[in-house]
Amino acid sequence: MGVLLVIPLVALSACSGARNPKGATGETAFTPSIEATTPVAAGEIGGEASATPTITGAPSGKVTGSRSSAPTGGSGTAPSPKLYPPSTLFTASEDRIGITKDQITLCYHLALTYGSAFQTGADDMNVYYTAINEEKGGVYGRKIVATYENDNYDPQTAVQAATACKAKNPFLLLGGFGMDQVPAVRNWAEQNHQLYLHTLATVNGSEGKKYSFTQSATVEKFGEMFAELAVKKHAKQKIGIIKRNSPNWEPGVTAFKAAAKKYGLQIVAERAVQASQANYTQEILDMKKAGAQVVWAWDNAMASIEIVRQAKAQLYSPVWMMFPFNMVSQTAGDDALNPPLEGVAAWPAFSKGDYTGSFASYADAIKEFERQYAKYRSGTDISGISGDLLFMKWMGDKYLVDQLMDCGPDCTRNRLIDTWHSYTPKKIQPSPCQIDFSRHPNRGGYQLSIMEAWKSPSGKVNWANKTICAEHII
Amino acid sequence: MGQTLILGLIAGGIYGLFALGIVLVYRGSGTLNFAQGEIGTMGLFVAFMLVERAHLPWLAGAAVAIAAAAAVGIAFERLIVRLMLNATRVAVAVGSVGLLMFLLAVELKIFSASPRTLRAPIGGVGKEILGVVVSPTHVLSLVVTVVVALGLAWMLKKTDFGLGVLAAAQDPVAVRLVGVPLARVSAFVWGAGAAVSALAALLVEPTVSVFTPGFASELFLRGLAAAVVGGLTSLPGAFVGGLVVGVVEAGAGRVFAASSLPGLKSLTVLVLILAVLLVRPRGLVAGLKSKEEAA
Amino acid sequence: MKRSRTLTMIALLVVFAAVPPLAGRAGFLTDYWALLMGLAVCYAAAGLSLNLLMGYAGQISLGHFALLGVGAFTSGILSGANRLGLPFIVAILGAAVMGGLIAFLIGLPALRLRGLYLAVVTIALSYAAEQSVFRSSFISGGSSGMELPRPMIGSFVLTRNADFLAVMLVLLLVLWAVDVNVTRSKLGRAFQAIRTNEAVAASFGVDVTRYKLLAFVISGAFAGVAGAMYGHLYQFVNSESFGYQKSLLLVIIVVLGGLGSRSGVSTAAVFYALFPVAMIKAFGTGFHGTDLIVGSLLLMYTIARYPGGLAESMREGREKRAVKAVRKAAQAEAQGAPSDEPDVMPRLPEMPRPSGLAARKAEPPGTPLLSVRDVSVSFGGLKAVDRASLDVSRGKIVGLIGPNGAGKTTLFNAISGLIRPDAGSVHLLGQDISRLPAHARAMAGMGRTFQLIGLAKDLSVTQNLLLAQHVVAGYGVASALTRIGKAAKIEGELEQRASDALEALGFERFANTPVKNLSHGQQRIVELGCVLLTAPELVMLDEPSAGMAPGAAENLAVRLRDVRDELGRTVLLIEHNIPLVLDVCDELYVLSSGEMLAHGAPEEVVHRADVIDAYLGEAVSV
Repeated sequence: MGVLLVIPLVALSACSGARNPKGATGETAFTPSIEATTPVAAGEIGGEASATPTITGAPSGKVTGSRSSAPTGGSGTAPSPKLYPPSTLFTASEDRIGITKDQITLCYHLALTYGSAFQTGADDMNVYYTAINEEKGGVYGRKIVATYENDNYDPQTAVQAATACKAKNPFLLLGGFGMDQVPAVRNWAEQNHQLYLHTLATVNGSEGKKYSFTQSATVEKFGEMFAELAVKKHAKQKIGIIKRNSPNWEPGVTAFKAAAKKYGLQIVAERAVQASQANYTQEILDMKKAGAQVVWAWDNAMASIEIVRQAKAQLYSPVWMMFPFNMVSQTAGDDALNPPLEGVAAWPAFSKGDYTGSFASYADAIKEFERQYAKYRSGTDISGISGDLLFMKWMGDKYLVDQLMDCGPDCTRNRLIDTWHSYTPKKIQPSPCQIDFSRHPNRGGYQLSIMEAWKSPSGKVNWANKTICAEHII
Repeated sequence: MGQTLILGLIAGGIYGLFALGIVLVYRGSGTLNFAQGEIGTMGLFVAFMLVERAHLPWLAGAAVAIAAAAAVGIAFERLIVRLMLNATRVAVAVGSVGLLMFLLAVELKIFSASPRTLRAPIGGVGKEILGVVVSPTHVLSLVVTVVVALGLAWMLKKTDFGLGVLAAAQDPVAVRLVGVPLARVSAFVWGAGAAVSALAALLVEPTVSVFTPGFASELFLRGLAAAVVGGLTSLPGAFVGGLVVGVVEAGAGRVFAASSLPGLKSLTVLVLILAVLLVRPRGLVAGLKSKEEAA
Repeated sequence: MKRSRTLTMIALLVVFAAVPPLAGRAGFLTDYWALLMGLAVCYAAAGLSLNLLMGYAGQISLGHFALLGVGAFTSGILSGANRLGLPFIVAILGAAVMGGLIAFLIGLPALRLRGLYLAVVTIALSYAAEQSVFRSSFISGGSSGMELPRPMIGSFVLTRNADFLAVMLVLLLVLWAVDVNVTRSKLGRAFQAIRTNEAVAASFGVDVTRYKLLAFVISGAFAGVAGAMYGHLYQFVNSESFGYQKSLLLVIIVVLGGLGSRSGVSTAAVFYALFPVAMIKAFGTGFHGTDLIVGSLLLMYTIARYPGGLAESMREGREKRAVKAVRKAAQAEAQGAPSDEPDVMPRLPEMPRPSGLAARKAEPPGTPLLSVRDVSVSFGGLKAVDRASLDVSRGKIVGLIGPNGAGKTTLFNAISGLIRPDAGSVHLLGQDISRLPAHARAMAGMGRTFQLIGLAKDLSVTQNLLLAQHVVAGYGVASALTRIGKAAKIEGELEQRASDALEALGFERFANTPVKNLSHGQQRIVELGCVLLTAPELVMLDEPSAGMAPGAAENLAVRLRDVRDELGRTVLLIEHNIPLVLDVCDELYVLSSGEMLAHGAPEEVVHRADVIDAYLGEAVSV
């Protein structure tokens, strides 16, 4: 009798957080993340790069040696000099956790809850590693074994996922596809001496976190880049901001406004909305009334779709700036095209079957991606709304493998850190955004890509690249 | 300001629709149905399959959706609520949370979390009133809310069956002695509540423009506020409550637009609820009717 | 009995403090499982908090997780390395204090609101808090969140989850002990009385307002501690950590565990935290999706089958056995000594004046014990009582009769303080009590019964007898919670007196029976016993013979005279049983349509034409 009660409680608790109805839209809807994700980007300098220090340059704790100034333009690069002494972060016993003669263990924390229904379950995301293991025999004969723990976009669950990962003794903990969890896991990684590579996060809160690394641009950088996009294309126009009411999103807005002030952008309206608010009519009308011609929608994909379409219903069609997800453009359909949505991302665009035009510079990589999925996960629909996210994950895996190769046959955690610190970009596709740890020993991403909504020949509205990997566009 | 009022009325119409279902279930079972929003969303998926995939006309899809929702409500009543006649109302509410989770899970399993669209019942561009484009669906939803509210209220007060519903809420044991078909009454309440929920979702979706599992959770919360403000026992009150909450919320959005303090709209709605209940513990409309002390 | 409880607590304390760290170091308890068990402890603590509020005191709170947020953020501000940096214990205490404080504020609307209205307000409160207050950088740390350090012993930091688990278990034990003290004291009884029937609680002298707020405060303090534990366990919280949906999960835990059952709620919490992972371990991650379907179905099934939760399913088993036992005993009785009147009122013993009761100043000679002047009560436009006056002199039994709907019970309610009359005054023992709330009038010496039996029906007979002595439970809240000071001694006295009363009533076998399981007549007896326990100066009885067999009513008359003669009480009673009234009353008042129609010696009054007209009908044969 009492036993019968065990079962529902059991199953019920499997849903901890998963029953979050609010989470079903936007954040927890699928993985890796709707908000923004950036791959582990390796650096080949493409596009413009400028020598001006970024606004997000953080006080660097441990930079020794000279700072190299990023070269302008050009395609080849000189390898940056070793800026940091060899890493001694990990003790001898910690250094080789997770890397054996036969295997490198990786562990990710991601929002997996509804993944299987959404075709981005754990198996869908492992394709690159599978291909490397099967076709190349792994990295120096070591198979890459990656597992995934569910974090449900919740900071507490993320710590749980990280702890679960740690029990598997991973070489590297990866994750953070979503802004809410990274601060929690960063803190945990510090306490637990876990090498942690995360994606999009705020600079704020990263001070003193020696064990956490990122190769993605920060939230603050995104804000700044959105402002630059506005300046570059719409300098004289009135700008509006519809932002998420959340401390985790706010640093982007702060950076945006600082850049706007610097470049003389005119912000005429700024409104905050709640998560899953559903009805944005009032905020839209406020923008319309203020005469905003360009509106930055700083919220997740679901909200972006709703905002764009509700604005159309209110006969209001400004230029929208947002995170460029295929989910947004495909769902909005033609509404995404008049005028075309504009986006800032840490990864280049993906549109299945399209290899020319703005995709030409990394067409081989796209074809490789499609080939691998056809071979190993043919049931996954990469032409649909999760295609670009899977491509992004795939690229990240690719860069990581490249870095592991660079690390050498006797790779350890400390050596991997050294590899990152002195990572020399090679010609691998897609044109990756530059990794540059010279400014800060833990932060190596400063470049972003600009995209625009575009109707592919297949009929689906995806995104096309305007600028691939630049630190500044003005 | 005029525009704020229009915005508030549009939003309020939505909230009122959700509030209707909440009030209905409360009157019938004395409890809160947490699955109220999700039953409607499930109906939307049914309509989506029929209208967007099978290309049936909107009315057909909507009718089936409402029927399906009513079936879910009645099934829940029969299988769960009826077993809990003597249970605390909180326990029944917990049961409804189970229903909410179940519906979410099934929707995700079958349809995944991809955003879907369902077209509006009435096509055509809206009319611009005081700067707000009011679509035909907005007007329709307001009209439908009033009609359903008044219709249900009339039915509850004037028909024998309806009186049975009211009595059953007060004292389920006693009404059985009097010959009220308690089973049918109970089923009606949950079925009607669910049907109203589907109606609400169908009319709301064109405004929101896309839907996924769980998209209505915030709207449900506001419907809850609206139901309480109007008075949990009054159906016309649910409509009035919806309008009040909608207008107050829009007003707060206008007044606090430039403020950097977070969450002032939610705080305002909270203050509204507290203020109303302080002055009229039975809600605005329901509180008008009686002044008996609750024993 | 008490000794063994203390010993158990100490043993548990040692086990909790020693085993997890040892198991962790020995490798039996991985960091991950220690984390999950820590989560279970948090949920258990939060469950205890909500259980106290909803299960004991019956106050709905659907936004309780926000209070955990208060605790976590407070603790973070107090102990954070880049905040105040105070020691862990200070942070925990601070969290408890803030939790109690904020809960007090939440409790204020609860004074006026009930049921679903209160539920919605609590949801709105926690939702608004999450959207506004919890997003302030000062409170929740902004985008960097709030880092909560683990406690230190000397310079050793309890970084290992297993080590911190020990701390959490000890804290949970403290909360558990306090909860035990609550249930064993007047606080718990007062809470449960409030949940059952506030009017009854007030009639036993419980200050409903004060105790409701007290329930919120204690519950809030518990929640604050639970939240602080939560924050320190994960070492991090931010604005997204305390969404109002988590409150729903807390409600599920408490309801599934069983409202009012400490152990049920704790068990539910443990399951909730631990087993899903076991499921994933067993079935792999592919189970996701289906597990939500299965889980929700099972939740619905379980709550429908056992609305009272885990505790109910356990109790069912126990009760079945208990009922069997009682039935057996009753059969034995029926076979042995046939009793013709099942509801015979036992001889009520001389009830000693309880210690701890301040001596009541008697009324000045010549004034009546109770004096009601020109009391009027209207409901809407209806005048229920119209300028009614009556006097009751010490040592008399005064009857109040009249047709149904005359306003007798309304007048009673006005006299005992449950209703505030529109006009008129009430004097007791020469003092004007017109402004006093009901519980204060109980304290002043007024006891009453109710038509529908004024007992806490869910509680046992013993619990009711203890509750009835609320006015003489002369110890404070702190003493009740800690069991230090007068509480233990006074509780012992109360228990002794309750036990004596049980014996006197002949109800020893019903000591632990819930009152609602007794027959109406038996309940009446218990109620009378309860009322007399604290030696009220005035005993007001509302239709004591209702529902009794005619033979029992005669016996009742004897007992009532005992009350007057042997116990020296003064009685005012409402009755419809005219023979009983004629038998027992010294004076009679007749109330009809809210107006006092007649007053005098019973024999005279019942033969008056207007009384016969209004109430008695033709030919009253005496």
